[in-house]
Amino acid sequence: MTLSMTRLIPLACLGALALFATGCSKPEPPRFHLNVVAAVKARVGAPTQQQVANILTALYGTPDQPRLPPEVPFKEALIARAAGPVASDIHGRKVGLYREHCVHCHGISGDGMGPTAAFLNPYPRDYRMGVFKFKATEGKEMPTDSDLNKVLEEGIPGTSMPSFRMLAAEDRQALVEYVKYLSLRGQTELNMYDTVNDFLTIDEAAGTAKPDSLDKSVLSDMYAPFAGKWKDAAEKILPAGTVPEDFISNNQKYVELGHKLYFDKASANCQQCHGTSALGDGQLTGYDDWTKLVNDAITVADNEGNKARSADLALIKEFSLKPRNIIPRNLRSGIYRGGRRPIDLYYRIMAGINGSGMPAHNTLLKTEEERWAIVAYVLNLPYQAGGALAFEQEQIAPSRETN
Amino acid sequence: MPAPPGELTCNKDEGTCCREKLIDNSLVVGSGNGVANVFVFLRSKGKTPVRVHEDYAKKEGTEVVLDNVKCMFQPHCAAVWTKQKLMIKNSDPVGHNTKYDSSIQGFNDLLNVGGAALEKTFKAGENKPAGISCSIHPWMQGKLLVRDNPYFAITNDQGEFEIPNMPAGEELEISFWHERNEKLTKASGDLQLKGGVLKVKLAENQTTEAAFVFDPAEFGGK
Repeated sequence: MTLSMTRLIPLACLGALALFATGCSKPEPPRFHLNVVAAVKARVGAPTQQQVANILTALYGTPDQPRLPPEVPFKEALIARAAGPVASDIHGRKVGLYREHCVHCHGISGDGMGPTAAFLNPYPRDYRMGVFKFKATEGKEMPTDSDLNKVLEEGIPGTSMPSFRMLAAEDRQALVEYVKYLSLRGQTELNMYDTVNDFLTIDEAAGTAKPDSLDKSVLSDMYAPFAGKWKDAAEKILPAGTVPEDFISNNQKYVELGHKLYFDKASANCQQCHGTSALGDGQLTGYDDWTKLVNDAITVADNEGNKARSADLALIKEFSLKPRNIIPRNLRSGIYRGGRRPIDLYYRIMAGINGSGMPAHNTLLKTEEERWAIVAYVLNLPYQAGGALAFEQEQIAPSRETN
Repeated sequence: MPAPPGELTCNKDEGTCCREKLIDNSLVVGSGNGVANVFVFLRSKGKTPVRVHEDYAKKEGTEVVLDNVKCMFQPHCAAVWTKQKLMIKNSDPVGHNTKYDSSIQGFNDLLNVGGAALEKTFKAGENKPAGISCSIHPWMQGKLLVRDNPYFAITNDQGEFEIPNMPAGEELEISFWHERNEKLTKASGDLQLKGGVLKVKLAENQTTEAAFVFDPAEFGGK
């Protein structure tokens, strides 16, 4: 039996009406996750976790409706543009930028565990510790807006982080503000686990947690130190001398001095980690800060005295990526993740690389000549004979690594 | 008595570091079963500054030394007042770096061989000890506590500590922190240590003593 066209259409309308009548339920709005690994490490139980989640929502809102605690110096309007579902406003300007460009790797909570993360080496950044590698500021200070913008503009060579140069500068700035927002939220949460005894009265056995008269000043202590650090970042830029005038014309002099310092125990001593052939094979058993948190949580959970041992270990496994060692950079590859200008290498070496084992060398290398000599040597290494390019570890893209 | 501690994996600069067995010092129990390296310190209540006894004035500006000796931190646990200086030394013939994992005033600095000590001062006290490590020799781990008042001590290997001249006549909260158990709970006579905190009121001109005896399992031991 055939249905004529004229009869099909009403049926189709009926079908469509039926759909609307029964209702395709709208998907639930996405929610932030807690930093479960940190909660397990701090031995914070479920009732307290719920309280922490409530406080975080009160302070920072949700992925669709972000808000900022009082006196946090971030730009709310830009955060609002980056937040929420992907859409265009009435002028055709895109909103929901974070969800459009970042969430698949960096995750809705900025935990670096988006759906693609397990396939990537290195893993995407987890913003929640407030630790960023590629910046011009000293030691463990926060990056400046300029540092974060640079990462978006240039991408990170040698990783899966692409350049977002095709976005307008204002779009990139909106993403920078949103990353800072996610980072501050994460730092607040970690601080709460560290200080939980100070502000929550917990009766774990009874399964209740009562906020102990949470007044504004107690709440402010949770985030104010970190907001202050973000605010001060611009003042913490490493005072870098300018590239010497004869850096190129007299490059050989710098390279020779750099070579000497590279191997000198009384000086930079780079060979201890980067290896005698600069292949990055000097110390292969270390971990970066993000992985250390996972390992520390496993140590805490993996205790015969822990009544919830297998549950805790299962939680950690579910909410973390498989731990990997951190490998010192292979200096012969010519790939510089934070930028390949001499000044970029100067910042990496003198300020150190936060989150990794790379220490700051500025207290040790006191003269500008020594500092630029190391930079010159590093830039020269890929061109030196006897050091054939070695492939980066795990060059072949891994299949989804199950934990 | 807990099981004897395990050995650390020594895999770098073997000539200097691995000549002797390196023992895991995350739990150090002395000959008399005393637990060493428990940080004992006075918690501050909100924003009220702690009353500091004038005797401590002579402690201002003094140095606390953290040394790298045979590829281990010496001492394993250190505590420093914001009015003191931390001097980080390297007594080894190999390079080290010292990484301090504080969320607000951390650092990671290189220590060369035969160089001068690195001087560090701190602006703020912290709620609990944070980790010290070396990236070149990853088995090197320690703990550093930074406080904004001088009322702190670290137990010796007899498990003993003493904090003189504490504020009397008010209820004090004293933290007891060990890297293997941050929430020590035990009673000693009238004194109740709960979740790592002891609430006690000290009488004027008197010494209050307490002895806490723990089960090895409470330190993750067997």
